[in-house]
Amino acid sequence: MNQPKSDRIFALGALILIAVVWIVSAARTQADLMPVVRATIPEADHITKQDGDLFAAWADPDEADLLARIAIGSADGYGGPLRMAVAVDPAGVVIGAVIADDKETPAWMGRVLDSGLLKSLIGKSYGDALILGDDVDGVTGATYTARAMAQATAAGGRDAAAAFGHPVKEPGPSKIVFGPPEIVLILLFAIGFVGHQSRFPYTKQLRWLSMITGLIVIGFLYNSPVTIAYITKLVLGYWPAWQTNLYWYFLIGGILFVFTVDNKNPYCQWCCPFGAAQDCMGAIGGAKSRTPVRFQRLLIWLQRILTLAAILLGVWFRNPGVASYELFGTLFEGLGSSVQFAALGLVLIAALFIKRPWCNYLCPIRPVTDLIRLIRQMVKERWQQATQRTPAA
Amino acid sequence: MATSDTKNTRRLTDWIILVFVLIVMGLLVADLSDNVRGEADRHGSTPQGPDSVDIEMHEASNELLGANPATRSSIEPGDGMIEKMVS
Repeated sequence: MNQPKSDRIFALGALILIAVVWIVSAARTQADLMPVVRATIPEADHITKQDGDLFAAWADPDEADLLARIAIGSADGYGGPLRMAVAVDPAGVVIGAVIADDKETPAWMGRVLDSGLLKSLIGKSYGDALILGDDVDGVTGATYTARAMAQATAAGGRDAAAAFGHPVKEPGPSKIVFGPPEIVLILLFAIGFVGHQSRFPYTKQLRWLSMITGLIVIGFLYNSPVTIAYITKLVLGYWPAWQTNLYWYFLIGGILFVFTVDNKNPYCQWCCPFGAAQDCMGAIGGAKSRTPVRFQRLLIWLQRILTLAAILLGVWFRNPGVASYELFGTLFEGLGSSVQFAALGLVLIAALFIKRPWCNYLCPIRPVTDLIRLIRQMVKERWQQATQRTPAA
Repeated sequence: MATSDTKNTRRLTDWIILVFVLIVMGLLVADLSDNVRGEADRHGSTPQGPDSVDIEMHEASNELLGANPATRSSIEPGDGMIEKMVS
């Protein structure tokens, strides 16, 4: 099916705009670290910068009494790298930890800060691995952010302790995290592949099985659906360590792979938990597929413009979390502002009468999948033109 | 008659969907703009790099000391002296 010319122009313009914003935001200067470093140890008389991201906090103007060394540790968070300024005293104990930079969704970060995780890191030794649920308490619903904070603190603590001359044992290669969410995701993609086959007789039943599994596992248990933050993270090049983020690679890689090879969306209609929640509401209310013919193009363009604006904001601030406007966390974690709860209520009520109102008119993933389809089609056309022009040998 | 009723119902449904989408989109944009405002506050209205801050601190420290232009040249951003003097 040929896409209208306006779609192609918009797609090309959007890609150019994202590239321009990417370059401009990358060229901006980095935030000054000194205020953050100072906040790790406010009682210091003054702070001096040493090599790289290493600082020294002095108790007196003559620099006779060294209170602490401060280092910047980094780890992969939900939206990208999270950096912590960590102050370690001469005995190798963490005496201050402050977030220097993060790419997290504000609501999630707020939850972690409210949990008191930062305070629990104080008093730990530089040698502690700071493993979530072991050395420090985890934070329900914000595991990625909490884990990154603990790991970045451990890394900063080691660097600061090493500067004191403490024997620092570098951690070995990360353990590969492959658990229930990864297994379920692969199974759901496999189910989707089987269900997509035209000769398969139980597509409807299999789709419901897949949707309900996605709703429970990807939604309520792990709250890990595809979000615009995942896409922005990909655009920004914040590719997390594969060992601990196989889920992210399976999800994004799986969708891109199936689209490229098969031109089919393996996610939205088969395992998206928010889509499944709307389908359940629709089954209760007898929802019908309603296409507002008069406004169809307008609604498609509104959805695209909102998505593009969100991606541009995420790229501009180099923070994928800031662009995420989905209501997934509000439904699956009960986390969100009153505005988000109001929007969720409206969407769920509408889903009783209209099939998947969120997916059709509001979800940012739809314009992204449209774009992937469009690019695929354009590449295919070029390829066919090129092969037709080349005479057979 | 029946066709006219169907047409009117469809037209009404179209409008209801449009109004629904605009309301929810308005709510989402309001929430998104809160996030953006918070992020913009964090970044500051104009991006500040280490150099600009150091220069400001440099100027402030010299004013505090009453230093003359000759002594100014002996204090360089990044050498630790500035932070020391300001604190």
